Amino acid sequence: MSSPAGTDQFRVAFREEAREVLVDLETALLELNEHRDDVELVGRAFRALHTIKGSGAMFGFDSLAAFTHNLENAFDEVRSGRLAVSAELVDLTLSALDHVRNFLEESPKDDHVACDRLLARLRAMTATQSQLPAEKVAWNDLLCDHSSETGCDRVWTIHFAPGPKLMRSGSDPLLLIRELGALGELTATASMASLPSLAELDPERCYIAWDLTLRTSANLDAILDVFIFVEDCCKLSIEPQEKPVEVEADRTALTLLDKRESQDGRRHYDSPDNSSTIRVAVLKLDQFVNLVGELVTVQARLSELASRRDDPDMTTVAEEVDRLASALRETSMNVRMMPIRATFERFRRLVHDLARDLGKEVELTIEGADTELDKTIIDQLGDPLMHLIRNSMDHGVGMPEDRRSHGKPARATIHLSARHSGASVLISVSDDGRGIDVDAVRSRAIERGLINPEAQLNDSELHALLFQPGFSTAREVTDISGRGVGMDVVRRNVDKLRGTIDVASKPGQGTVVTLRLPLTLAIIDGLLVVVGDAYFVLPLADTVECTELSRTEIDSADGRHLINVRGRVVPYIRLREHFGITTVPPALEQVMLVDTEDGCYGLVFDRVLGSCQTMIKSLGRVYNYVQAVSGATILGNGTVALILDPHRLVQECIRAVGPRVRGHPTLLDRASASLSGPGESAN
Amino acid sequence: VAICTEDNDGVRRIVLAGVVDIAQAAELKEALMETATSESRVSIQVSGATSIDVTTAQLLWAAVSCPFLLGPARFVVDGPWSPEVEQSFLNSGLAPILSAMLQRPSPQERTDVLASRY
Repeated sequence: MSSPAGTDQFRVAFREEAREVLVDLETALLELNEHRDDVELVGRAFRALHTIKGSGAMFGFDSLAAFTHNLENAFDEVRSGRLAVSAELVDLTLSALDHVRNFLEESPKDDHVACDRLLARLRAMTATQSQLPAEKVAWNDLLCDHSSETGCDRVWTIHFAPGPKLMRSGSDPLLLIRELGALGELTATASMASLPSLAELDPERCYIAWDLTLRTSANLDAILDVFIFVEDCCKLSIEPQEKPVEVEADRTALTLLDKRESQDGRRHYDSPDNSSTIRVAVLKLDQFVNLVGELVTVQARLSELASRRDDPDMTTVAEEVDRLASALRETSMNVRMMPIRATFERFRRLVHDLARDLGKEVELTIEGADTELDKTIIDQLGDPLMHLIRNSMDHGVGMPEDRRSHGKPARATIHLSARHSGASVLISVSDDGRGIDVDAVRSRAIERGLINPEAQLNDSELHALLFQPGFSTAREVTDISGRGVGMDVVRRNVDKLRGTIDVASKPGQGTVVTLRLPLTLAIIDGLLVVVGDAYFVLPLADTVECTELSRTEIDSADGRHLINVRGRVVPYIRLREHFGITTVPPALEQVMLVDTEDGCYGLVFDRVLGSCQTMIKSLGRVYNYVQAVSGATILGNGTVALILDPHRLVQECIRAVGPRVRGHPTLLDRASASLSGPGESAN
Repeated sequence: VAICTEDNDGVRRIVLAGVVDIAQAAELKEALMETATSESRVSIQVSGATSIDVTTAQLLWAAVSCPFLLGPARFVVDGPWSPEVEQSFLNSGLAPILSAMLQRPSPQERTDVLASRY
């Protein structure tokens, strides 16, 4: 074991954990802004700051620890009733968190001037606020025992026994004891009674236990705070040694201690099994999923081999492996699933800051935060959601007076929600703002030459224009939106995730943008089809129905790729032609109708082999330019099958025919026009 | 190098230098276990260590307090402790144990330690 590597590992873990704590802290602060007398929120904020400071110092983030120490002091003032929660304090602390985030970077930028300025403001605030009136400090009784208020010393008996994981978590008992010593007069007795012989000794575990006597004017909470980072991995008991001056005060302290113990049940014991989660690097997780994918492929080969040989023993083994591989595949997929809560919660800050900057009153409500999605999808959702929220804040939600004049509450609501829908997750961003002005969208689209003035587009098609690159109805570009970039980013990111976007809006009532996303990117339910010697997988989610295409129909269409499906003209793409497959086609080809953003299209192939659940393997960077193929998979017989992306395949074909311009003739329009005109039924 | 094992004139030495903490704990245990079977006196030189943590303190105490459970070697901690180490263990309740390590326990004392444990 080398020291730097070990230290780096702890520092990386600290960074990750600190960022999570910051998210929680930010949420607590924003809630505190709404409920300024909430004791629990004050405590949450204080504990988060204390954690960041203490852990930061432990892992060598000295600047961070020093900076956070000032924030912690301010919240200690709040906790003890000497400083009131105000919008200014919340804003100041939120700004400070941005600096804390900077300290957590690998190469933090030098912003010490801004930090100093911020701390000066904080100090000024804590210095100018006078003692709060008596009724304001009533809640303080819950956290502080009375001895601290009267300045009386109290003697506490503390038993502290580090658990097996304490040292490995990067904590140092000596530092904790030193910190405890800083609270008052400390007498420490170390016991080596649990120390095993050298041969049996786990070198990275602390076997020493301490009995400590602390005489201090500090309250119970201050003592508990010393152990805040290690409460999950130690035995700890804290008891007042003497009869208190005020019986009531002691009861408060003991009740609090009892309450804390009973709430989490962790104060008095430590068990190696009481940690229910572990932190795993995403890279390792990806490797695991990839290996499971390989295993599934091998299992498919084994199944095929077993089916070809008439060996009952081999068939039994193959079936058993099949069952286990399926279970393992499902488990590995579940491992990657995580709740979307953290992504949602971070937008509270965005909404708070934007509302302040725009002079608007906006509340963010969240629903379905525990909905689980593949981590890869969650990671890529941040940007699209941010752009949607910024758009709502800037264009959707009006100024308070404007809203009042329309009979709406001054305070607008932006609602973020997530829910499962079959194999998809629906994520919606809705607001109760003005709604989309489709006339303005239409005018702007005509102005920019995106549609013909005569084009008849419904609301849905007009809404889709909002996602065109550079499209914006805003006449002024602001810091927040108006360049027509954000919604294009939303579209691109959602496309990358194989998702779709739906916009619904009512003038004067608001807008709902719904993203439909697959649960996972790593696995799809597909339909295995074959063209000549080539195998393709069509995502089952995109398919509508399967029909047949005869030689006669092909010949009678006079070279136009159209098929009549129960009276509806549907253009089709022959995979044989698209991929240059030169084998002789069968007399009766198969057409799978797929639902794409550009309408319903048919994909023509030789025959269907069956449905399959398949792991998607990337084609690699070399094939990045291939848009119509989203990946590949290896079949049981070792053959590679390409996984088609019907949306992109159709778009590729449309581009090949001519640029797709809304309101202008499309592939379907051109083809249909030669038969019976666009939109008309063929008979 | 935080831990170095030397063998000069029939005396084996484990030399600690700089920071010796949990990151070196496994290595220190291995060094102690290896030397435990030697027939000679094993001197653990600690004066070069500028910082040790409880894992190091435990390992050294386990070695000096009952060595003959492992083999014939007799572990001796040769100090003094550096001022930094003494300072870091001040008021921690472990300072007496650090001092005790530097004293040569008599065979009777070692036997007493064993008797109290088993």
